[in-house]
Parts: sequence; C-alpha cells; structure tokens
Amino acid sequence: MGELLTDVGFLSRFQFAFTVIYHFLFVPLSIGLGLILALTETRYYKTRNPKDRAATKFWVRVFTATFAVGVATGITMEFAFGTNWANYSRFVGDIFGAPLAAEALFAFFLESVFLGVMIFGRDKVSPKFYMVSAWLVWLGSALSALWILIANSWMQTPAGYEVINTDLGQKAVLTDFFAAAFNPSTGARYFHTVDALLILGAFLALGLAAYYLKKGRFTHFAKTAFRIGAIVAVITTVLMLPFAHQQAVVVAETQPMKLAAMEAQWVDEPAKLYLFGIVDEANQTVYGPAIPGGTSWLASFDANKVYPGLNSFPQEDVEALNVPFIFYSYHIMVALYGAIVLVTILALWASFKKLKHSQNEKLSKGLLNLFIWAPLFPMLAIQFGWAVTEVGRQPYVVYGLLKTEDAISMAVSAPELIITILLFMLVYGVIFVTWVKTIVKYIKNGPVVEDKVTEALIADNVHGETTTVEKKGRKLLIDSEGNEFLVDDLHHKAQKSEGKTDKASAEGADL
Amino acid sequence: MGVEVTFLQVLWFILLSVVMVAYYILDGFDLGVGSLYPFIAKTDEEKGILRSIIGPVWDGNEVWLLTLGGALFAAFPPAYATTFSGFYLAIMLVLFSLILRAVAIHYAGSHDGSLGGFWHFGFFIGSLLPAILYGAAVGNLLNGIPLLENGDVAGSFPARFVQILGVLPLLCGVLSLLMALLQGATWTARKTHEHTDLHKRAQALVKPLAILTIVVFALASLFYLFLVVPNLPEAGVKYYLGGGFMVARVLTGVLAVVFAVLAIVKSGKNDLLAFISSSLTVAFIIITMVLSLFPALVPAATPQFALMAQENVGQTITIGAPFASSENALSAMAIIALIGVPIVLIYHVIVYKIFFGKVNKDTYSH
Repeated sequence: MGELLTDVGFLSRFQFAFTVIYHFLFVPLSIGLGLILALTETRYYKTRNPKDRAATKFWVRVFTATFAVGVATGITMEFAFGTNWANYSRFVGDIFGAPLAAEALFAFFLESVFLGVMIFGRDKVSPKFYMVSAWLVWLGSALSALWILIANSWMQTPAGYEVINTDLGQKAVLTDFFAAAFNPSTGARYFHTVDALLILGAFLALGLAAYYLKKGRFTHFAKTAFRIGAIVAVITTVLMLPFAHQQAVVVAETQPMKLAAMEAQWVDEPAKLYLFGIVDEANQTVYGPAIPGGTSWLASFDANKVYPGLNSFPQEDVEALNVPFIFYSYHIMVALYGAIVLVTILALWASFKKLKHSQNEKLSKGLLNLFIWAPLFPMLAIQFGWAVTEVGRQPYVVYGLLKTEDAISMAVSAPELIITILLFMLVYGVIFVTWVKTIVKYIKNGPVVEDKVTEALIADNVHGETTTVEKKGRKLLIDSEGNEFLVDDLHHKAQKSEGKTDKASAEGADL
Repeated sequence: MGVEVTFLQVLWFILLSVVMVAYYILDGFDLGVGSLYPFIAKTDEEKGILRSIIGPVWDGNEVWLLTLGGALFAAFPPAYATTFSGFYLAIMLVLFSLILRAVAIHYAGSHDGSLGGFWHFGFFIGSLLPAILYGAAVGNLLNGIPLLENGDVAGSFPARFVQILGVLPLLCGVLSLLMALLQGATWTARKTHEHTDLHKRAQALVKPLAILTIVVFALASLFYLFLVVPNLPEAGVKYYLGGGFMVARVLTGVLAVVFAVLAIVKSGKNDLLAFISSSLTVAFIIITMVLSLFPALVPAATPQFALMAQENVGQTITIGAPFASSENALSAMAIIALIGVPIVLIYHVIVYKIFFGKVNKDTYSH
C-alpha cells in the first residue's frame, strides 16, 4: 500500500478510473433520458394536452440537473490527457486530438445551445421549434458519444497511422483520416454502447413510473411514461442482440488476448461460453458450467473454431492483465442482460394488458418493486461492460503501440496526485449528494404544472388544444371538443386552489 | 534565428487565437458576471436575475474553452502536454473552479437552506479564480518557462509551483480579471432594465474598470518589453520582435485602448455598443499577446530561481516541426473546422436572437 502511494503510474490510473467512472454515471443518464424527454415533448406537440406539457417540464428538470454534472465532470476528462497523460498526448496527439476538437465543435455546441432553449425558451419559441430543440439536444449527446468512441476505438484498434521518430521521440501520425476514424472497432462499439445507454433511459422511465404507481400518485403521467419506457425498452433490447454479437466478433478478430481473458481461456481451443464460474488463475482453470464452443460460435458462427489461449501471448503482457476481473465483469454484464430481457417482457405485458389509460387495474407490489429497482441492471451492465473494454486492453493504453506505464506525465509527482485525488473525492462527493437531493425533490414534486391557470384547466378536464376568444367583453377559452370555459373563472379557481396546491399535488390524482 | 513554418501551422496558430478570442469575449462576460455577483446583487431576486442573464448561453460559451483545449491537443500536442502537466496544480485549480461554477449556476437557485449559500459562493469563486489564472498562465508563457530536454517543465514539485508566481504573471492575472469584469459589467448593463438598481450598479462600474484595464494593460506591456524581453535567451522567443510585428502590436495595443475609451463613452447611451466595444478591447489585448508569442507556444527560458538550476535548457516549443502535428492531421482538422465553425456560428446567432431581450426576473425553471 505504501508503495502505491508513491507510484505515479498507479495514482494516475486510479485518478483517471475514479473520474471517468463518475463521469460515465451521468453520461448514460443524459443520453438515455434525452430520448425519453424528446419523445415526451413530441407527444405534447401532438396532443397539446397540458398534462403532457407538465410531463416534459419534469423531464427537462431531471435532464438538466444530470446534464450539468455530466458537463462539469467532462471537462476533467479533456484536461486529464494533458495533465496526467502528457507522454500519451505527445504520442497520439496527431490522431487523438482531432476527434476531441470535433466533439466540441459538432456535439457540445449543439447540446448546450439547444438545452438553453429547453430550459429558458418555452415561451420564447414556437412549439415546433421547442420540440425540434429537444431532438437536437439528444442528437448532440449521441454525436458526442460518436466522437469520443471514435477516439477510444482508435486506442483499441489503431488504424490509418504510422509511427515515426522525431527529435522528441516516437509518435503516431495520421496517414488516413477515415481509416483512423472508422477503424475496425468504431462501428460495433458505437452501436453496442449507445444502445445500452438507451436501454438505461427506458428503464429509468419504467422505474419512475412504477414508483408513482406504487404511491398512487400522478397516475396519468406514470402510465404514459411507462408506455414510452416499455416501447423504447423492447426496441433497444432486441437491437442489443445483433450489436452485442458484432462487438464480440470485432473483439475476437482484433483483440484475441482480451477475448481469451473474457472467457479465462489459457490453452488454444474452441472458446467455451461459461454461464458463470470461479477463476483459478494458479491452476489455469475455471470452475463452473460452460457450453463447449459457445463463444466460438457467437464470434464466428462456428463452434469448432479454435481461438488462442492466454498461454499463446507474451507472458509479460498476460501477467499485467487482471484475468479474473475481466472474466467476472464480462459475465456479470451478460447475466444482467438476461435480467434486462426479463424485465422488458414484463414491462410490455404490464403496459398493454394492465396499464391502459382507460383501465383501473393495479400491478402487484412485487412487480412494481422489480421495475423500481430495474434501472440498476442496465447501469451496472454498462459499467462492467466498459470495465472489460478498458481493463482488457491492458497493459497497453494504445493497443500494441504504447504501454500505459509509458503514457504518464513525468512532470507530475505523487504528492500532487494525492492532493488532487482527495480534492476530486471531496468535490465529486458534494456534487453527488446535491444531485441526489435535487432529483429526489423533483421526483417528489412530480410533473410540473407551470401556472395556476393550467392547473385549473387540468382540474376542469379541458381536452386537447385550446384557443382563447372574446365574446361580449368576456374572455372564453375553447378546447378541442368545443367546451367553453370562462377565463376569469379559471383564474378565480386558481387563486382559491393556491392555498391547497401542495396538498393537491401531493395527492396528484389528476395527473 | 528564425523558425520554419508551413501555411497549415500558421493557419492553426491563427485559428487557436480566434477560438481564444471568442472564448474570452463570450465566457468572459459569464466569468465577469460571476465575479461581480456578490457585489452588485443585493437581494435574492437580483442574484436570480444575474444568473438568468447568462443562463441560456454560458454553457455554450464554455464550449469554446473545450474547443480550444481539443484543438491545441490536436494541432500542437507537445504544447498541450507540457503546459497541462507542468502546471499541474494550477490547471487543476482552474478545473475545480469550472466544475464548481457549472454545478453552482444550476443549483444556486434551487436550494433553499444551508447549501444554498455554498452554491452562491461557488458561483463567485468558480468565476473569479479562472479569470485570474488564465492571465497568470499567459504571463508565465510570456516570461518563458524552464524546460527539460524531453519537453517537460523543469523542476520538482514545490519549486515548480513557486515558479508560476512572478510580476508579469501577477500583472497579466489582474488584467485578465479586469477584462472579464468589464465584460460582465457591460453585459449586465445591457441585459437589465434601466432604472433598476442592478443596472445602475453595473453601469457605474464600466468607467473605472475600463480605465483600470488600460492602465494595467500598459503596465504589463512595458514590463514585458523592457524587463522580460532583454533577459530572454536568444533561443527563446526573440524571433519576431522587430519590424512589422512591432508595428502590428503597437497598432493592436492602441486599438484595445481606443475601444476601451469607446466603451466608457457609449456606456449609458447605448449599452449594446458599450458591450461590443468592451468585447473588441478584449479581442485586441489577446491579439497583442499572441503577436508577442508567435511563432512560439511555450518559450524556453533559463530558470529564475536557484533551486531550479539546471544545465540544459530545453528547446522552445514552437508551431513548427517537430512540435506541430503532421500536415495530414492539420489539413483534416482544417476541413473539420471549415464545416464545423459556420454551423456553430449559426447556433450562436439563433440562441442570442431568441434571448436578445432584457431580463427582469429569475427565469430559471426550478
């Protein structure tokens, strides 16, 4: 332990792991929820039902609070290459810097500018512009994922480069931009990752809806959110099959050592598929049930295809690889996908059989609790999956080209790293507590009715889009079914209900 | 002694300068508003207004910094690696400030109770520190930095941290703070209604801030020319100090002063023009600075402190070979910029148009 505290390489990796995992808690939430938000706003655009508008407002709040943390902790990542990985930056800058700059130019500006419209612009832009803004924010987040995954994929499967010698040492230089950007693993990694984030978004909608259903609050909102969540969950969970398969194919072809570690396979043979197991490194075996040739079949559709075992790779590289960690992480991810499929099927059944707006049926408490906790499945799967990607690339930071230990900043000392690691823990800790408190507050308040008039409108069962007309000096509001409401009356009701707003929204039966 | 540079290398030096100017004009007023926050906003409502006048735009403004970081990394990796790792703790201080500010702007209004005060303070300090530290960093670059042969900043941990304190960094730090404050004051005046106290307080600051900006800019320039440049090693930054570059720098320096005066003249009569004048002052001060640096990015210098003494002084990091990225990479990025920058400008036109008007209440939707 004492040795580790003076080991700049270890401390740099520790700091990067801590800050990137933290950042990668919030990014999936943003990208996943961004889609739910855009879909909800699109629904409002079509129905013009004040209840749907209140739902959008709720998602905007949750999204913004989450996005703010994602942006703030993302700056750390861009700085980290220079501060903590100076030799890495010198080696890869020719290739790696461009996607980072492009990410800012093509994605961050799009996200942040139109998020400004989402937060402040409801009354300043047309409903159509507002809806398009919601989609642009989501598009921006999806594009940002593309550029950063291009950068990461190049570290996994470098292409379109050559290594040259300069006065300052070796560096990789770009020879073919498109070959580098769309290197062998970019496509598979992008779809596999982003689809996982969208599953998370769908599960968050399901979980939140189940929470409100359990409490008997905001039933209308909950049923709508549940339906959106169920539909997105089905599509994304099904799509995950080809995406995950393709990812396995690419790993088998480009990073055979990582594949061998994922199944903890030491000798050359058709790769087994363990359902679960315990890794015994000393004896080079795994105890647990396995399908012979299962992984070979998944990666090549040929159960007899022989893949090299760990013993066929340079032993110093294998020694630097944490085989049990990679094996367990990979298998936890796969097992969680099984749980995700199960929840998705149940959600589909519940949404279309039990939770129609016209029905008054209730789900069992056990089922509701399952949905409430279900967002943890995709979140954990995302984290373990990403751990396989990154830990499985070791001991290299750029696969086959640059070792992690050679990538650090020589100018940074251990005491400086310890200071910043402690500061990160403190600052990120405070932010996390605040974020949780804020989200809890938003969830307790539920869908956001913006003004008292809207609230009265909802209470009076106004349907669809409304228009205001003046008749004989009196302001009338007419809804899509031709019902007329006196605006002064609504204001009057609104004033009267002001005192009991809290109670009304606490019961929330009308939403 | 000259440095061989190619068209693309110079183009990227210019593009980086443009991004830096855009960043400090735009996020400059955010940082300025944040630094003025506890002083010109007396009530919670005024605090809410101050956060709201930057609310829809500050996040997009800050993306210019990320663009600058990414583009520096991509175009001149050694400059990015050397400065970010060499000034580790100072850079981390900027980083923590920006993190605190980003989160604080969002959470300051949404929390009643104990933590509310913390986030108000976070917004202030998270704006103030970067505004000072950016200038201090530039002051260090102009001073020249002791480099090792491998390109790293010389010296071990405490000495390296002490090295960044000096007269020129101090002057430049004060100058960059003043630039942000001037931006913040003119922006606040422009975005708030006349007759409000907030508007009057902001407007009253324009004149003293503009005068101070001119004075400190002049002091920093004189200090640099007469006390720093003569001591720079020949292999350091003395490439383009004479001839056309001198004329150009005098010209941009004078323009910076002219627009600062114009900001004073227009303040109270046309607040939008006052803000634009202030922005041009910021632009010309930064242009004067980059003209002084060109074609170096990190000039090498002999150590100022005995405790950093060393025998070999590393090479100045310039925009030429071997420090620049390959022509392939620079041209690929030039195409990315050619497509991306116009789109980004369109976004800015859209969002500044939508939120063009004045703000009279806290518009954060908590």
